[in-house]
Amino acid sequence: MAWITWKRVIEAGLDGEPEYVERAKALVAFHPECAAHNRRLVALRAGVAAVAREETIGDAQFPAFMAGVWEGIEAPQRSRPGFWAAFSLVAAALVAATAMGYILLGGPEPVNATEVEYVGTDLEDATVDWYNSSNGVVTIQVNMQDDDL
Amino acid sequence: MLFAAWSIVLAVVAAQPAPAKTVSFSVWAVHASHEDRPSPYFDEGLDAIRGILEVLPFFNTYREVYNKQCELQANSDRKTSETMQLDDRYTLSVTLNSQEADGHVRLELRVEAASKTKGEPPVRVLTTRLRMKPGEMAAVRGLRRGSTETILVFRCDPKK
Amino acid sequence: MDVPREPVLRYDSVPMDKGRLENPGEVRSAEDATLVEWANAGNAPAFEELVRRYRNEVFALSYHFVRQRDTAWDISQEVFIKAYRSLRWFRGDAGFKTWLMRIAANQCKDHLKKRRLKTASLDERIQTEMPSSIERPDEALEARELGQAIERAVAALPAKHQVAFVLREYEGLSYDEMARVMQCSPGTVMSRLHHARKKLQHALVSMGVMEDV
Repeated sequence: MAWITWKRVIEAGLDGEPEYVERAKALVAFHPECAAHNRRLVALRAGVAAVAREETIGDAQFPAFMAGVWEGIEAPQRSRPGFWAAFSLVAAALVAATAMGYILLGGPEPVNATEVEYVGTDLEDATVDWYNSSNGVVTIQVNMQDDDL
Repeated sequence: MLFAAWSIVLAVVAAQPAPAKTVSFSVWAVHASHEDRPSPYFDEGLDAIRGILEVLPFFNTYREVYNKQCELQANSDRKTSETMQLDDRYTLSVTLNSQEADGHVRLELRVEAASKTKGEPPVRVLTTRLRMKPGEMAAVRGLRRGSTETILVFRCDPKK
Repeated sequence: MDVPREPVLRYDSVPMDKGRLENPGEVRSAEDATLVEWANAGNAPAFEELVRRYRNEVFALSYHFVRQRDTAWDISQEVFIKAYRSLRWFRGDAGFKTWLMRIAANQCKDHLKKRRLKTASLDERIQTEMPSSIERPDEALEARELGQAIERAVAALPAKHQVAFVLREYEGLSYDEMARVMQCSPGTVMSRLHHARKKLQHALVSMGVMEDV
């Protein structure tokens, strides 16, 4: 368990997280296993940097890109001029009918869309994740070691 | 156009839900284990949440150890939080932080575990903040208990 | 219920009251929060400026997932369309860029899931997909060959680990920024990065492109 913790400290130090930089340096300087882990991370990063390409949408391409965005935004919103008066009447009637339906029938079944705004744990070396299970229920998963408590 | 305007006003007024003063929550704690049996077993009291438990891997035996309904109010002098002892190890605290006009509630769940060392304070295993609507559910997994697991199922109860 | 009004975009006509601009330079120099406010009021140039500012961040992130320009282009456009539709919900507690990257990361994850990338067995994927021309050297391979192997291995990671690795290694986000994008705690960010790196190293050692220390 302790070994996993030190690996994460080294990783966080290499990632430049201020809280971990000095601790990571000390570990790498004094422990061969930590130094080896650090070397592997550095090699991984060097590999990423070697093939990283700066993929961009240049200024010349931007008008075409933006045109596609407008198209996606505006397409469902299109309404024909001259149609608006009759359309608004029908829309208003539909809204009124739906509202009465909510009052009388109590509305549709709620769709499960619980939002997880925060997860955390005080257990060292435990982590918390969350996901939507196959039946749509939000599941918060605590990953703890056997002797964490 | 007058009819349209009046319909819109009527719809807006009708769509305003009466703000709920009290929010009801249901909590289940289930001990999940894997036993030598030909088919999965569920305690009778778990019918309401069986669908959630069935999809969980690893376990085939589910025993209800706790079930309670509580009522909380947000931003009031009355009860905004409640603490429940789920089993011999875990406690759950629920705090209702706020209630929105459309029925959504914001709440905080905290799960603490009794320390194995006598005299030590409990350990905060989980803190989570959720935004839910009546009828929605959430589950908490991973609360270890030896070879079994305490599964917590939490529901913001539908409005009556 | 107070339903925010979806802004009616006007591109050719005079901007609406709230978004009335004295000169186009005002858009270029405006802060993100101001542009969001103007865009919400129906000001098309304001929204276009937001797209102009962040198109490359979104495109780069998308490309790192799908590795094809055409697909990354489509995903990026979808991200901005979604962002426009969600502008009224933008609360401003996280910066606009962070909020946008969150949409982008989710869009990329959805795309990966639709493509049904198998994530159960990373080793199997590597063995079936790696070209046989890469042999097991005695010494470490050059960084470029390692990089290509990494790209394939990253593509085989579970979605949430892939998101974490891409945001850190390709986008250079801090743990706090990643936590806001991924909507989890910094601790969870650390954990996902750790697992991603562990799986990658294991796969790369199996392929013989990295030393087993």
